[in-house]
Parts: sequence; structure tokens; C-alpha cells
Amino acid sequence: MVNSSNSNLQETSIYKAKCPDCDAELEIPSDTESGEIISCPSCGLELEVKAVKDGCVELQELTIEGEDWGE
Amino acid sequence: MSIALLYERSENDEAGIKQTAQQLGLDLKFIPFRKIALTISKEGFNVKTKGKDYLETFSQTAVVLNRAQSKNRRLQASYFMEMLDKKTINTSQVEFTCYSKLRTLLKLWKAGLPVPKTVFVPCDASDFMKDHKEIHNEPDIADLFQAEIPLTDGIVIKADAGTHGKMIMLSKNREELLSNIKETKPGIINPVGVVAQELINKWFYDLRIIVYKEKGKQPICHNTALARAGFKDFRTNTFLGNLVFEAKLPQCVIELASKCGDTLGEGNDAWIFALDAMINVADNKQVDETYLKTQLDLAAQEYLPVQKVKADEMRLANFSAWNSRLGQSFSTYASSDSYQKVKSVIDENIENNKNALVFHEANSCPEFWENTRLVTGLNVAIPLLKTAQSLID
Ligand SMILES: Nc1ncnc2c1ncn2[C@@H]1O[C@H](COP(=O)(O)OP(=O)(O)OP(=O)(O)O)[C@@H](O)[C@H]1O
Ligand SMILES: [Mg+2]
Repeated sequence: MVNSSNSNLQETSIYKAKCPDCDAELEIPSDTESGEIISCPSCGLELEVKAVKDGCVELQELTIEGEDWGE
Repeated sequence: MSIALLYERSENDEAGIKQTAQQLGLDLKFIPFRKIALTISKEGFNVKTKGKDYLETFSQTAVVLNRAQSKNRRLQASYFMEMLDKKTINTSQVEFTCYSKLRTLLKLWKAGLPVPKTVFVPCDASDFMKDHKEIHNEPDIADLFQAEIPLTDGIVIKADAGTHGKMIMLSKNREELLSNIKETKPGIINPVGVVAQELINKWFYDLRIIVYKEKGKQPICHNTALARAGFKDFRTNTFLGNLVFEAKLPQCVIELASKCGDTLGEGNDAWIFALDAMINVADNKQVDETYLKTQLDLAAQEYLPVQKVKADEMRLANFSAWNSRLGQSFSTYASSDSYQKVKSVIDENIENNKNALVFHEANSCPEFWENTRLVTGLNVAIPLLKTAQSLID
């Protein structure tokens, strides 16, 4: 998991993105690799980094489904 | 004071509730019920995620619309919220009933409402002795079931808290029955024992009926239901790829469904359910099955564009535009000749067999945006929000 406030990452620049679920602003270090899983600091939603390029980050919700998920 | 939408993952239903609240001019707050900490201590109550304090949201919330997807989390959520003096849709009492098919059936049966013959054996399929040796109870459980339901008629084994047709298994001979009982190991969707049911000869469809009650008002049953239809499997859930059709409900069924709602919601000011029902059609079929299968195959072709829109990830980026496309593709499907033909077979069949209907489940947190809403014309987000709104004093 990538933590944007991690001091080890201070050298890297930060990309901004929005949580697709709760609209919170996410700060994603530019050296994040696609496939990494981050979680929204506001709502905790897990997001997979699909692509990082040209200052843009493409995120996608992880499809988690528990065994007792249902109506 | 506001309504708060409590959810784990914002799916189409939740996006639909948000959109509907905006259209109704309702102030909706949001409680993402994931990675949140709810603390009780001598200092009082606290609630926050790693990055955000939700105490303010909670203090402005009068009613919690509980859309947690996990049945267990949903039950905890309603109970927790009630202890914080919030009203809930649905209440923890309702969630407790609906969590279990058996508890739901018991309540309906006690009120004299029609349910399938159901047998509960509290013993688990196998037990472990202290020395870890396994004891198999399947033959005894099978004997108990067979003494109540003739195996030649078919015995349906069900996970008591299962959904989406998971662990709904049909047995027609002893070997199948033993192996299906073995499948029902205790677990999160089948906490204890084994539930069996008579096979309802429902031909090719079952029904989903929406009933709800606002505080201070009479219960309402929507006059059309969602029929889930197909011959592929004895389970007709949409989750398994079955088709959906609109079904007109006879007045006596509307009254019966309202009574089901009243029974399950008893003691609560407001509630909403999606009731699952089947009709024991047996041989009372009005059309030839070959004709029907041909029409269903044709309808399946007409449904392909709808499935394509449903799968399009565009919904994540632009829900509103995706939704318009979904509506358009569904209208085309619903106006097709094959859809109309199957629909009229279902309508006629329900009318002719209306006295053979049984209720087999009540869903307290129904999915609705993609099927029920489009088929029945009822945007379930409206009664969800209205039942919640009616609880605000
Ligand atoms: N006793 C029965 N006789 C005949 N068919 C049955 C019986 N019980 C269930 N079915 C079929 O299996 C399907 C799933 O059953 P049920 O509704 O009990 O399970 P579920 O896991 O809650 O499904 P869902 O979440 O989609 O409602 C029903 O829609 C129905 O077609
Ligand atoms: Mg069901």
C-alpha cells in the first residue's frame, strides 16, 4: 500500500486524484506503479492504480465481494 | 436533520439513491462504512476513518439508510445506529429476520401466509470429535428430510443466509441429497444446521415484489413485479443470467404481499422489502413449452445490448450518461415482440394460478437500479428515501 505522507517519498512529486466514491482528494506519489493498491484516506475504499503517466493517475475500484454480501 | 446513506461500496444502487435524493431535493449525508472506527468509551462516542472525522455527519443524521452490502455488517450497522438513537431503514429487528430465510419463513407461516414446506434440521452435516475425528450426519439428516418431503418430487437445500442463488441445490435422488447436505458446512452464509424445502413447480419464473410503509401510512405494494425467467436452471435469479420481465400482480397477490410486509415489519414505523415469491404452477400451463423456449431465446438476443451497457465501465466515470444509455437499451428490449409475448404468458399464468403463490424470502436491502426499476417502473430509491424521510420528526 502506498502512503502519500510517507517521508521516504518526499523526493518524488505528488499527483492529485479524486476518490471515485467519496470525492476526497488523493495524493499519489509519481513513482507509484500501476497495479499498486492504495486506499482512500477518507472512506477507506481500495483502489488499484491502472496507469500513471503525464501527471495523470487512472484509478479503479477493487471489486471485493464478501461471502455474505447480498440483499 | 438529515438522512445518511450508510454504504460499503458505492454501486449503481447507491449512485442511483444519490441521484434520486438530488432530484427530490433531499439533503443526503454519506457514511462510508468501510475502514471506519466506531468507538464507545467513558468520553462518549467517536467515529472516524484514518483521514476524516465523521462525528459532525453523525450529529446531523436522524435516519440511517442502511445499504451495507454484507448481511452481517448490515445487521451490526442498524443495531449500532439505533443505540446511537438514530432511526434506521431497515431496523435491526427487520435485518435480523431477513438475514435468515428460516426466520423469515417462520414469521410468515405463523401469520398464516403461504410459504413452501420447509424442514430445518439443527444438526450440522458433520461434527468433529475431540480427537479431530469427523462424524458424518448426512445420512441421518437425509432420512429426516425424506420423511417429510418425497425425494421423487425434489428437495431443495438452502444456505440459510445465502444470496444470489449461492448454495441453493436441488436433489432428486439419494446420492445428490447426501452430497448437497455435505455442501452445507457451517459458515458465514449458513451459520447452523441444514434447511430443506419442497421443490415448487414454478415452471420457468419467480417473482420479486416490492412492499414498503412510510410512518403513519398504510403499506403499499407496487402493482407490478419483476419476473425472473429462464429454463437454464431451476434457480431463476438474475444473477445467474436469467431474463427479466414485467409481471402484473392480481389484487389478491397485492393484498397478500402487503400482509407479508406488515408481518415482517411488525412493530416498526417504516420499512421496505423486496419479497421473493414463486407460484406452484404444476401443470396449469397455458402455452406449449417449445413455443415459450423459442420466445425466450429470441428475448435473450434482444437482451444482449442491455447486458453490453451494463458491463460498460463508463458508468464509473459518468453515471448519468451511462444510465440514459441503460434506459434506452432497456426500452428497446421491453418493446420487442418476444419480450411482449413472454410477458403475456407470465401475466396470464399468474392470473390463472394466483392462489398457488408462496413467499420464500424477504430482501431488506434490495438491488434495484438495473432490473427492478427498469422492469417495474418503480425507482425503489424513492420509497427508500421516503420511508427514511417519514421517520424524521
Ligand atoms: N423451493 C424451491 N422450489 C423451486 N425453486 C426454488 C426454491 N427455492 C428457490 N428456488 C429457485 O432458486 C432461486 C434462488 O432461491 P432463493 O431466492 O431462496 O436464493 P437466494 O440466494 O436468496 O437468491 P437471490 O439473492 O437472488 O434472491 C429462486 O429465485 C428460485 O428460482
Ligand atoms: Mg432470493
